[in-house]
Amino acid sequence: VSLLADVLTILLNGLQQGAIFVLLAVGLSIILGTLKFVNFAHGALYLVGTYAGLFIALDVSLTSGKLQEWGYADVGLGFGFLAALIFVPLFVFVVGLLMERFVARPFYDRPDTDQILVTFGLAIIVQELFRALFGSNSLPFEQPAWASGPIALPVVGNFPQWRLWVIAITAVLVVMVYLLVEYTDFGLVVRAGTRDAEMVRLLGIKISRPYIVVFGIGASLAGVAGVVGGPLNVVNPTVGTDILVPAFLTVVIGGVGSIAGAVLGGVLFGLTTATLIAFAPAWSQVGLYAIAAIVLLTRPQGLLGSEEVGA
Amino acid sequence: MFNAYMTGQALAPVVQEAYGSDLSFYQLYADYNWGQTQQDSMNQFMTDVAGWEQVESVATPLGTKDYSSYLSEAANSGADVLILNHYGLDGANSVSQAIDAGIDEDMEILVPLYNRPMAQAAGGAIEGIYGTVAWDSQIDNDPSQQFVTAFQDEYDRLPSGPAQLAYAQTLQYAAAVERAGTFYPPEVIRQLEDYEYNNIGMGEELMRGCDHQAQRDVPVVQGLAGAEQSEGRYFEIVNVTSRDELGYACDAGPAAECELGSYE
Repeated sequence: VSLLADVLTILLNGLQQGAIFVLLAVGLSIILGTLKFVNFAHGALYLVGTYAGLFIALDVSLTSGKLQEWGYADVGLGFGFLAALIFVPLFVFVVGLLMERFVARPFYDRPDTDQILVTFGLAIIVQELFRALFGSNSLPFEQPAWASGPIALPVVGNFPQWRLWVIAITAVLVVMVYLLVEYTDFGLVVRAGTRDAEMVRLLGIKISRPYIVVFGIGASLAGVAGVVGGPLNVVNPTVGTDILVPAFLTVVIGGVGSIAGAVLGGVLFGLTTATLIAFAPAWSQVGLYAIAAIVLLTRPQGLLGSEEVGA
Repeated sequence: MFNAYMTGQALAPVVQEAYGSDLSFYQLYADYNWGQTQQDSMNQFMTDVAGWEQVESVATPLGTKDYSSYLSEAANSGADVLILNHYGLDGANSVSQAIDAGIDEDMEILVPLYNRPMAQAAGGAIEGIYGTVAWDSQIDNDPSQQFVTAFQDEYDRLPSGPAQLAYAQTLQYAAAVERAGTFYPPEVIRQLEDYEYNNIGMGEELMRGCDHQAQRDVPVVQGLAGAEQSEGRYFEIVNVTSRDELGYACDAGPAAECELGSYE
């Protein structure tokens, strides 16, 4: 029983650690796959989602930053977590649309390096803007009362309840995005555009419209990741930057443009980390990068990525 | 500021009295200089003074965000006490996650070194958890209260421990430069060596010459429940351990391995 408990604990820990990466990677991957746009500001969208979620869900008292200095220390709306879960994706969707229009679109035909530079710059600007406004001091993001604290699971024993919700919410969202892309006309156009954008245009479909929606959905997913991932840690302006590299590695491992790949990559990351922490903690961080290196050496297109079609 | 060795020394008798002897403990520590020294010190004093036994001590990479897997291992270790040698943000994350995972239902938790921003970020998770702080705005003596008032006038909020530390140390340095009449480091160092002072809020302090370590009192605190916390009040001070009960001779403990080198 003890061995079973160990295995199940590692499995749950791995899944919950991977879940946030999955949410981020799915968004990142569909943007990269369809728009061929390298978005280093994806972490900033996570940051926006986390703070927006915090301020919508709770009454927050800022302890540093300009707003506090100006006398607006109490900034939260206190509408509760469910409200945050509904409004943040919509809000970040709009942020995503604006970002597509004003940052991404002018750079679609520019080299990857230009895209990286402009989005990385944007990410730093957003981070420092949040730091200036809301302060560098970390803020607690309390878990919703209905899901905080431990829950006694059979075999495994006590497990943080919120982390089970993170797994569940991630699963639901990923399935929704998968169905959207695989089984709707919208998804059909997006997938066709990924294969051969010129041909789609020749068939009389205005492809920029679905593309902007793709960007919005990707952004929205990062926003949700911020809301559900926020209560796992304390909140400060670097949360977006911290999560960017693992999210990118997840995409690279899973394969660009593949939703299933992003899920596989995220779960693989989570499980590897959890397993290494259990058996060889000193190697837990190396594991992540070792997997990335092995995958890149043996399957450069990622585990479930397809090789480039056409030129 | 006291060092990691003294943290363990100050905590051991307090937690032994609170939780008893003959317990086993499991440590997680941030994998860098302070974390390694801190877990070493906890191991030494919990074993020698409190009579506890270490089950395991596991390094966590500095800046780890998600401690859940480490905490699962700790929970399954069968130990009675979990010591989280994480400071600042790392500490806020690890202790909050430990409470989320329900570890406090089966184990006592210790956070050897607190500061206020970290308590603020961890919120009610620190309830009842013992630790030490460098300084706290609740410490009641003239220099401390004078600093609190001046800081409040300037910034309109209560100063944190790190704010006091930064101010006090800058003042120390400035005064040493003034006494030396130069910024030349070897001269400034000589001014600080064996310098005694009692005007920065922690009573009598000595910058010991033999190993350059501050000899001072150590406040031992217990975190307050979320509902009892208010601006600037996150801990209850349970004991201010006198510096006479702490530290080590110049040829003992860490000082025995200390070689300062020359500075002409």
